[in-house]
Amino acid sequence: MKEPSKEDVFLEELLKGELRAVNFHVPLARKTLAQLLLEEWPRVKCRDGSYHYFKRRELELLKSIVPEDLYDKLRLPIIITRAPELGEGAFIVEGDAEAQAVAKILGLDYDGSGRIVIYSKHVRKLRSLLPTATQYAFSSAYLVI
Amino acid sequence: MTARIRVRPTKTELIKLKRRLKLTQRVERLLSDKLTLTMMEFMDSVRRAIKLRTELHQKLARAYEALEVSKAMYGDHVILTAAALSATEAYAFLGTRNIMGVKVPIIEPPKEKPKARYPAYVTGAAIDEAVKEFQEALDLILELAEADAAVERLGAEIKRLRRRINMLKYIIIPTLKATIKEIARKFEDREREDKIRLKRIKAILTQRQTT
Repeated sequence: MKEPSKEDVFLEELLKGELRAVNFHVPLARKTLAQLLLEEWPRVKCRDGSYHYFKRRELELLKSIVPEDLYDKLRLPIIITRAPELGEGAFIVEGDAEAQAVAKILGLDYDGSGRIVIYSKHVRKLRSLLPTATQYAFSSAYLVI
Repeated sequence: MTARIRVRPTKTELIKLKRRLKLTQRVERLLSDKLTLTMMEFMDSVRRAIKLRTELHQKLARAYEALEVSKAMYGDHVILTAAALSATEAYAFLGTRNIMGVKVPIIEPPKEKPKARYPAYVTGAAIDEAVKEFQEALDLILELAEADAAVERLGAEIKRLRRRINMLKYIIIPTLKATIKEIARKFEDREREDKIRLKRIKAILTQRQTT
């Protein structure tokens, strides 16, 4: 048996820190496909202060896939949120334009609800096609204590 | 025997410990999910690196073969002079992408490929092919460097996550559970003792009344 030591207190802070830092890599503000296509080195600033760069060929790929009216609406990177409340291996892509684009790339049906639920195999395909134009995030369901 | 945290067996401490256990389990779940995704990215990067390395080997084999043919046709000296004349600089762009907090480099190949400038009398399909294959190999080398760096950095992150998950799963959570169980057992003991004490008092009181 031991006293609650400094290490225990430190550990608890570390755990809370891990929860707080889980979405630090997500961009502060996303940019539209049209905006990014105009930049020489397309990038967005992340919450941790770093920059996330896009590959031009991915932007060109998206440009060729999505309809022209979505260029000003599609915000990048597309955030793939892990949603444990929906079950094992379920992810959500929020936003009408983003959900439309994802449905088109993956050949899925989109019901116009403003979000689309996808699963691990879809995520793998999406990430292999668009490694810089997509990013992971973790849903707030993890953060509720 | 699982280690226990030394705390006073009070209701407040029990509530605190239960909250701490909940927090730890949540973090463990989050880190496990993060590990699964990192593993997925790592495996994809490994597959990509293997594919690119194979392609690069094939391309370089073809390039060197064509170069050997050119050397046989024009001689070493002519080809070396042509190579020296063609020496030029090309700039690639180096940036980063963020995979769940892991910063992985991305390398954009030069927009304009370095041009080979060799003397007019050095002509032929072999030298043209060698130049073309070496130029294409340059793009593959950059892509491979990117994939290798991703493998290395994701591997380090997997190691870190595994260590943390194991610490939570095999040390912290069992310790908290054992401490909670022990406090609960102490409460039960105390309750039992109280019941027995009450029974005994009741028995003494009834005995006194009868006498």
